[in-house]
Amino acid sequence: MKRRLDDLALFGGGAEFSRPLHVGQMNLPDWDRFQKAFEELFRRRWFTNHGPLVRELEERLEEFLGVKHVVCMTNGTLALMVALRALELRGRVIVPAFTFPATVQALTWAGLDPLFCDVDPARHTLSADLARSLLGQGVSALLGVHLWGRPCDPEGLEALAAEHGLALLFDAAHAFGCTHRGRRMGGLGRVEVFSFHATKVLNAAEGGCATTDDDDMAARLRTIRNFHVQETFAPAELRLNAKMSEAQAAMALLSLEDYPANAAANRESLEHYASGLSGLPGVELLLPDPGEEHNRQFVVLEVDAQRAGLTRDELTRLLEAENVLARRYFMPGIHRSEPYRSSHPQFLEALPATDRLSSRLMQLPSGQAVTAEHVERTCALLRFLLDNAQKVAVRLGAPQVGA
Amino acid sequence: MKRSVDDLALFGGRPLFESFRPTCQLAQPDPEVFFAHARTMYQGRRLTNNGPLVRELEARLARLHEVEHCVSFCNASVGLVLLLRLLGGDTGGEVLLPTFTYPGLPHIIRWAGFTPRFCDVESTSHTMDPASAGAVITARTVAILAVHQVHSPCRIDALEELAQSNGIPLIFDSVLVLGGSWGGRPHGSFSVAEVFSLHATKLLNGFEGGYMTTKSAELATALRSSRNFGFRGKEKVGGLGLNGKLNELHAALALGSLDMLAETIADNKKRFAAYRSAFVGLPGLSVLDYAPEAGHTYSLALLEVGSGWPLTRNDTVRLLRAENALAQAHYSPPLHRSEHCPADCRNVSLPVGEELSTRFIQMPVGELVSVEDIAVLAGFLRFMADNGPAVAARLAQAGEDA
Repeated sequence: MKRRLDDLALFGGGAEFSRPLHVGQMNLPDWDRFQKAFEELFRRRWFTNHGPLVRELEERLEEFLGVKHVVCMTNGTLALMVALRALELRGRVIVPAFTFPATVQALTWAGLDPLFCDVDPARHTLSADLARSLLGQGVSALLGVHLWGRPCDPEGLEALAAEHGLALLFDAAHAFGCTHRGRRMGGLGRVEVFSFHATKVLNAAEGGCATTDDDDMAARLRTIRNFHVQETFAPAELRLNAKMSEAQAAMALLSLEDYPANAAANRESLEHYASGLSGLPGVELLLPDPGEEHNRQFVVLEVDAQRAGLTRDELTRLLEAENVLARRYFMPGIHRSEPYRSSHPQFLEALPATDRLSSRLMQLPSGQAVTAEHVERTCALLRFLLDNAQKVAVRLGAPQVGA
Repeated sequence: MKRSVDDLALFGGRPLFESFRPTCQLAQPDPEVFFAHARTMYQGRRLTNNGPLVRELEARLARLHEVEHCVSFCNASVGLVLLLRLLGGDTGGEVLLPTFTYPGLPHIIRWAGFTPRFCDVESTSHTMDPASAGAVITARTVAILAVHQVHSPCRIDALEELAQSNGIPLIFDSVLVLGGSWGGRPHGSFSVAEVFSLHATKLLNGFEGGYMTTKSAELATALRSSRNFGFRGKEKVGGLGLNGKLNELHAALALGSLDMLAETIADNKKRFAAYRSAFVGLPGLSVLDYAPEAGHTYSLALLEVGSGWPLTRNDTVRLLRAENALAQAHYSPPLHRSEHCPADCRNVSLPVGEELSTRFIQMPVGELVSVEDIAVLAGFLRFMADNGPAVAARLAQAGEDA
């Protein structure tokens, strides 16, 4: 418990936590089940290449997500690259810059040109209204991102795509288990792409998948993800090794069994954050849409420096010193990073909502390793910082010991 | 044992083997070693993102290859895409490769943003012919991707010289020579960078995976950044990247596999010796020898089908496969004549590669094949030799449906 400014780790005090608290789920199935699954795998001696566990995972996910086809791959980025090739696109693709860099990098690898679109300041996602102004510049597709698991204007973008004959796909890396109008996402657009990275609620160590209700699309996805002639289901010009291994599938199957428990734990954790931070000026927790299911895998805090008295950057520095490894996602927007900064300079000053969010959002620790007590102490720490915001800000401006 | 043509599995007889005999390694490390590594992974709750097991694996592989840097990837193909882009730049161009090799390579070159340009191979080593490569180098050539064959490395000196004199980077695809050596030096420190695989079918089993070795600290740093979305530091993205990371589960298995590498190679050597001794005196069939001047790991057994053999290469493969001996036509068709080649680069004549692609069979190898199995395979082929015309007649009668 901090009582004085000198107690803050950045000003020479001891850190609040002896071990770092991380952002990201990192949920592990219990050891016995893990061991059993891998013993069976070793007995079968089937390590990769279209194995039984990948097939089982795909079937279970089809059922869970309520979508006709799930095609599992090495990771979400490769799944997106494969999906973009499977759409057989040319030219430019409208995409938000307020997203993880991989969303846009996948376009470049697929030989496409990103056309950066600003995001809705409240939803943090692309909308049909924002995208409309960029049409007519050789655009062949819209790539929406369900940021923080909140749907990215599906009806609006669907209508816009239909009206202009564009392909529509979604980066759903954040949205596993999240519903839109009561249905789990996975069947929106022509194809959606999920991530099963260890920091996500469904954990395959690394992993991802593409989902679609379209049989032809599925045949192309299954063909493009490997080089094997016997695994060819549709003509495909360009293929890649993007196969998920049996080890990744084993891990994901265990994690899928644990999904209800993990989502429930995330709900509890987010509620602890909400009550711990309630009434604090200038910070706002991002909450799922009411009435929808949500994985709550990210704890996203928006900081209004004017009202809080400290900027997002100051808060993350202070927290980091206390071993609360809050992260500034996504900072900067990918339009301000190379190679796009140089190759697409016209967007540098064109995305005000993106730039604003980039300076205001942070993620707080979550997942199995973060206990209720950790959350309470993190909230108390934030409360102390904001209660003493003015003095902390002055002290941050002065030369510091050990900082 | 087959007594009549009707006994052949292709014509309804009982297969020689009850379960598959594959043409790949499928090494199974001690599960206890895997679980010991996995326990540390659980304790540290670290499943990916350059974790401790990946770092340990990279350090051990760098020692194995006697090279300064090793950078791992989710698989070799993705690693090669990143390497080519780093070396070849963002503005396109051509990458030279041999036509008689792995079908993934032209795809990889195109993902990296370049056009594949095929050249011919030498008839004995089956590797890139430096003269054929030299003849197609132009101002648009951004890299040479040469591939070592299992039985023979490339002409390393000649290719190094060709690359240097043209100011073009040379990369070796060394997937088939992992653990081998040339001139007493392990593969891994030749050329600008060498690429290796950790796929389960290869010598070192990491489920899926691959790695790159290089003497250049600068290149290693750039590869590490590009396999992690181009991040340089925690938040700054400095260039184009993607997710090319090897995860800790895969690293754990690869570490276990590395522990038993010497044993795996010794077993391969025994199997290859069995092929050498069992497959003598078959008319028109010979086991391809490993080149004497290099160190090998004997991970493939290739049969060469000559004019004295009574059946075609492809029919022989079909007959073997029906017996659950999953033999394969080796690198057939050559890449410039295959579906893996974009239409605009098919129109070349590469006679040596074209000829080689009609001649070889990859025979069953690896941990699921015993020395006894190899004797059974030899007996089977002897039956073919003795009953060649009858088998050929029956094949003609059955047509493609058999």
